Amino acid sequence: MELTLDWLRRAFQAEGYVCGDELLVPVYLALALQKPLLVEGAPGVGKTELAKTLARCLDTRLIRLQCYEGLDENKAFYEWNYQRQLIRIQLAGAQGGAVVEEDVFSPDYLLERPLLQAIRAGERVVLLIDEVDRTDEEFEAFLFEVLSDFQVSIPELGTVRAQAIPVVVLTSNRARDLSDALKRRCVYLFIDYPSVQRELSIVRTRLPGAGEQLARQVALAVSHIRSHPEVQKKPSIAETLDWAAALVRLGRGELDPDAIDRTLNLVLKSHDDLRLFRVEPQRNALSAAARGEGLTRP
Amino acid sequence: MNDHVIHSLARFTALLRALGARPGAAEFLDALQALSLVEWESRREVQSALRSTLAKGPADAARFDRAFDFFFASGARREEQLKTLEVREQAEQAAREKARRELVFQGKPLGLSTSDSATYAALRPEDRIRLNEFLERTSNGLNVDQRFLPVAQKIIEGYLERWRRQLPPGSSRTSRVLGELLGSGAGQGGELLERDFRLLGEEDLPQFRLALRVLARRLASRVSRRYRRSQHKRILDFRRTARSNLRYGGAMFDLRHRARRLDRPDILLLCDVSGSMLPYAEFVSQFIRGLHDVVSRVHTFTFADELEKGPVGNGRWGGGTNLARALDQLLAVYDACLNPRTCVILVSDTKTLHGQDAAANLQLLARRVRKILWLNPLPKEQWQRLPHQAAFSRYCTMAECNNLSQLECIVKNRVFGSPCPP
Repeated sequence: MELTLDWLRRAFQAEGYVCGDELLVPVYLALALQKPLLVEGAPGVGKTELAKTLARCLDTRLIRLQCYEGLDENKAFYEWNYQRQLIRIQLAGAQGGAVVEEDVFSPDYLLERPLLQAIRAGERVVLLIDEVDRTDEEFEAFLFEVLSDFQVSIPELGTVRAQAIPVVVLTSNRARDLSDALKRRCVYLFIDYPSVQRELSIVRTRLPGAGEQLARQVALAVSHIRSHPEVQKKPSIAETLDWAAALVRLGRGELDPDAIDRTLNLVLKSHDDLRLFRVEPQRNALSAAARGEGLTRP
Repeated sequence: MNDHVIHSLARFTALLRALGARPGAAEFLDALQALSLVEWESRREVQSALRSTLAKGPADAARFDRAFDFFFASGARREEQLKTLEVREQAEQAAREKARRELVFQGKPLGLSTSDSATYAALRPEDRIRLNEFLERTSNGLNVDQRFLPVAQKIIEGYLERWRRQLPPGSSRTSRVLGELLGSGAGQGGELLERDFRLLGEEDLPQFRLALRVLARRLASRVSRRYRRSQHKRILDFRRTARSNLRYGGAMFDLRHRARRLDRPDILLLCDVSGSMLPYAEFVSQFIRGLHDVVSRVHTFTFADELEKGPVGNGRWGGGTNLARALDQLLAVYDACLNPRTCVILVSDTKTLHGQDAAANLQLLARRVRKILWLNPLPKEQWQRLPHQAAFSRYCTMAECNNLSQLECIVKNRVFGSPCPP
């Protein structure tokens, strides 16, 4: 298939990922320019889902590297299978043979970790480096070396080059600022919380069982919660969907105060936030917003 | 790509830089490539393509969108914008002229540079009055004649230079004029970052609380992150390896490594709630709340005359400061909170009774804990006038912290690893 923006638009639509051109164009550019795509945004706005959707659209494998504090090259890149090497040496010793270094430092004894898997895949895979902001700055520096050349040196084996440059998607929740050097190598995309209309489309696409009225009310209510200045953890899109699904399951056709009270813990996940919306003026305001009477974001 | 497009994009990139964004040459080349891949008839596509290559953060993206609307505006709107720009330029020119007329020494103008005049014009009225009063007093001083003009000029230039350095990046005259023109005020977020905690209005509080919460979380993760890493590779744990391999007849089959321990120290927050800290009450309260929200293991104490455990209530503000007694009580009563893993964050203006005793107690505290970070809300220029600041600084890392930007600097520069730059 020929990569065009129009093709990408249709492919995302077919996969049920609702988005606009402001998201599609950076994705398209990252693919066309063969550059990593750095996606930033609050948790739950669809960053990881974007990479998964991309893999499905391109009909290829998704290789995921989940980052965490203390992640090092061994876990991200490769390790030698020490136990297997030791058995090989001991077997050779028992049989009276000798083992040369090349025997035990061959690809058979290599444990490939996600970065090496993506480079040696032989086809164009999608490499998702998830929550890169959790890693140390030192690992980040190592990472952009790999991402700029798509080749790595293994001292015992030599340089390994990617036969097909993987599609790299890095995600970050902005827990810390990433280095300018890493950003410079990437096409940048910031995903904000969706507008009411877009969230409504997402609910409609993902939950066809939810009625039009309920879907609209959930989208409006979530938008109202997100715009409240005292909310500590804003609800994600996944939580919106959970909320709507729960309401469908409970057979609720609309978001009245009673339904809000019973199901609010699906969308608010902190004690302070729950307490905030369970007191009278805030609960009524939320209910009014859900009916389209309150102040909401357009 | 024709020269006209390249030239226009270069001018647009320069405009972004003037507004405080930092697109480099690599980004510029990426943007050129991106332009060749999208349909120029679609304004939205072009905007998205340029945004994703030239703006690498939400703040930059907001600047980008405003600059894009300005730069690629339709003919009539462009005319209108240029006219507004011209009017503003004229107003700035007039303000600079006025500054030159006002700053006189014994009737003679000081001969300030254009940038100094612009800085003077941007000062608050009370600061301008203060400068004028200073010049007037100096002009009428005993045995003061025209020979003192260069001295007075140097003093005024020094003052204006200091003020200019306090301006946020991207607040040069060009960016300010453009910022206003683009309806951004050079980024309202940026302005809030630079505003003194004392000057926060009721309307700024929601945004301020959110920003402080993010910074508190970052500070907590900075404090708790271990920076001195002895080994890049994993370290073999010989004792555990030997023990676990006994079952293999001594062949070192199962290697055990020392886990890379992530150091999670306790945080002890000690906040001054005396009368002198009252202007910073909102900052202190929100800072405590922000840290509590994001870090579970934080011991909070407040002090004025006495030490109290727990976050501050509204009624507790006021009274004198006795840090010596507070530290004494902390060392005696709350001994269990102190260990070599504890990081102490002390928020105070250093104005206390019994300063020498307080310094001695601070020394004792420093021996018991890993590190003491002192956030001082008073401007650094005033520190020399504080009687005990030097004594306290010997036992802690003291950092100026009276706006969000400084707190961000503290967080970014790993005060627990290296000193914060001036």
